[in-house]
Amino acid sequence: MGAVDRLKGLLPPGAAALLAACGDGVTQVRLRVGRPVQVCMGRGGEALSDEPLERAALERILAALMEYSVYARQDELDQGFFTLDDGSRVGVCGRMVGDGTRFRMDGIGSACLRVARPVAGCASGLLAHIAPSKGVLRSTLLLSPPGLGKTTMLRDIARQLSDGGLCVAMADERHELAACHMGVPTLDVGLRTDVMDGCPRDRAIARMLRSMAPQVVVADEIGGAEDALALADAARCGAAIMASAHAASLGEAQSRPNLCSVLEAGVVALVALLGPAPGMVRELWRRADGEGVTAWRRA
Amino acid sequence: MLAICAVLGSTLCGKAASDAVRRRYRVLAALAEDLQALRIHMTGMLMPLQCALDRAGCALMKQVAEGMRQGCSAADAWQSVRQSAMRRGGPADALAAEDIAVLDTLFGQLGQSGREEQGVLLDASMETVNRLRDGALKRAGEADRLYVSLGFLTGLMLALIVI
Repeated sequence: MGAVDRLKGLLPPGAAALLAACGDGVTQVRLRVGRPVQVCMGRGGEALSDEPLERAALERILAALMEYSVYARQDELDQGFFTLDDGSRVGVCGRMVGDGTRFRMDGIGSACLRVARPVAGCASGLLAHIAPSKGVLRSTLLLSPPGLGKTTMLRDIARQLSDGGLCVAMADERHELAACHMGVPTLDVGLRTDVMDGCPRDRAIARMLRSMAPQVVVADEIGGAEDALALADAARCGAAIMASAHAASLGEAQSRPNLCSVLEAGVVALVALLGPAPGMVRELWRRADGEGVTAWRRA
Repeated sequence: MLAICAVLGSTLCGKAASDAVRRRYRVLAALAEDLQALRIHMTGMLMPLQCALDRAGCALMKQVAEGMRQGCSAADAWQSVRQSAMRRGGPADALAAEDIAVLDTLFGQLGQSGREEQGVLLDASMETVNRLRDGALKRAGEADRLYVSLGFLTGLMLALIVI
């Protein structure tokens, strides 16, 4: 059962009816204590329920979405989200308590369900640039602000490369790419894809490089220094990199030290900037190295 | 011949009565083992609760897991199976009221808090169940001697009457 269908059965009747009326175009459902349920649809449309949501209702909904297993989601919750079986992500906000180094989610005041919807074939256009001819595979970084389909696009790239005959290793730290259940992907990520689920990206990449001999390494939402090092190592080992990161432009990505090191160290050869609508490619940049300087030219 | 039958039959009746008392010990012992497995599956392997309960060996946990499959919490699932489990032939029919109280506390809070809290809850439940199990074993030993002796003596009296 998909995340929206599950939510319909958990929301108060008015909000459930509103969600049902919004049909298949729902991209996000935002739940806030004492305020109406907000249903977001593609291209900026939204609808609000008549009744405010009570705290008990939010707690009941979240408990059910977590399969009544708070302990199993604790690490994710402490990072401000948890992921459902179908890859949809529930972001949570509220009171954090901690000792200065480690923080714990104590009371949840609002939640945002971001609906995951695999779109088979959405990366076909981009793949013509990633693999322009037989034997050529360009390592690629997908950039966009949140909500423009980076994960969906990355998943479809992995699926198509995998089905096309390449061994793909997927570092799925937040369970969004493959939505694994007990280590087995529930979303179609390709015939030859191996997924390391729930493990920090850098460690997952290092382990899979050692053990799975991947031809392609896939990582979503990179940004840390460890990610950059792990990807550079994978590239040195001869694996092609398919990754995504938050950035609204190439310049913005270059201004972030860790992403800059990925861009300048020759880890990726192609940068695709997604937008303005989900799944669309706005700009495409190719690396053009010369005299020790990395330059990016529009493709 | 009739006298021998009376002695044997009566002794066996006493043995059956002592077995019924021993059954509580066996159920509690199995429950203690399952709680240990549940702790590993929950706080060590971070399995979802329904899955962790399903992997436990005893019928009681499996019934609660089955209830959770309908989409309710462990507390609700336990409440829905509690009465049928305590009925004659049910997986908890040999348990005493104090044993059931432990299960009420356990299932009432299972899955509702973080790893550490769940560990504390399971440890406390295990400790109590182990204590109850040891008590049940002691009582079973006493009952064993008492009921078998009583059965034998009753049989002997019947045999004397017959003779």
